[in-house]
Amino acid sequence: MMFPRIAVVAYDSSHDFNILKPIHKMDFLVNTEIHIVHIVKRVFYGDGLSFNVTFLEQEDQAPLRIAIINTMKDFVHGILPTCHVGKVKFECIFGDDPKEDFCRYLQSSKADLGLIASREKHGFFDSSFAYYVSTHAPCSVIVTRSKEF
Amino acid sequence: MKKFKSVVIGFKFDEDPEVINFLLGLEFLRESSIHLVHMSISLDFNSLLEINLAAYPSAEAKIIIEQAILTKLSESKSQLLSKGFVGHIDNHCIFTDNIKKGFCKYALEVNADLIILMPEKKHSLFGSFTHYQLAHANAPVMVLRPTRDEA
Repeated sequence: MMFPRIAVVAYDSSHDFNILKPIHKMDFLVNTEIHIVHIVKRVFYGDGLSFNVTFLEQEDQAPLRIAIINTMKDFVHGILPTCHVGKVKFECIFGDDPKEDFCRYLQSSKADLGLIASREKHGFFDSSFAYYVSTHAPCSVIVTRSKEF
Repeated sequence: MKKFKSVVIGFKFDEDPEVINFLLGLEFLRESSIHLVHMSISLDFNSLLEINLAAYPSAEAKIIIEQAILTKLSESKSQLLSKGFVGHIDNHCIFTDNIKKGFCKYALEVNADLIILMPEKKHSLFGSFTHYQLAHANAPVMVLRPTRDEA
């Protein structure tokens, strides 16, 4: 069995790109199509009140998406497995709930493997994010911490 | 091409056969040193109560349980070997009063490169054990789930 065909890597803006370095040593991903997904949380203020303000309106998202994807492209060669020959795709998702958004992406991309790189035990990508994804993802999930490699 | 040299796989024996089949098909494990581990709860109140009765399971029962579990784990070992596995496989039955910590500690002791857990259902309450490993394990944790079939 060729495993995995498609792997999706979760990445968020609270860490630098080095957190993805554990992937560099995962040689079994050499032929895998890798999607690196950056998740940006949208924030709504005043929902249900007399006002409604959204942090990151639609028109603000496009330039941010371009900037993020360009940044990911600059760094990606340092994190891909050595001799990686599979496709690489970059995606930037704006959503209200990063955990659910990531699971939805795993589903829609028909991923075989989700990868969550986490350094901290607390914060945006803490164990609750990993735990939620591990219980709700439609595929297998690997959770790593950068200190392990 | 062997990055996961030491792999610890937690077995509860209520795993979905489909998940087991999926595990057997993971090519990147074929050269690894695999530890098939079953954690069993053991309670010992002797140190607190200064009596000899408050221990479960008893030493005799422990031997029987351990033998039964190792026999069961051997079946999984045979399955792995039948799928072209060329690495090393060890079976372990570990008795501890805290299976979450005990499993974590074992993974640390054998210097695990990867921990594999197999939840029985998609949204089951396999909860605190997996949650604990995700938060405390010193190795990457892979939660195994066959792809797409059940999605």
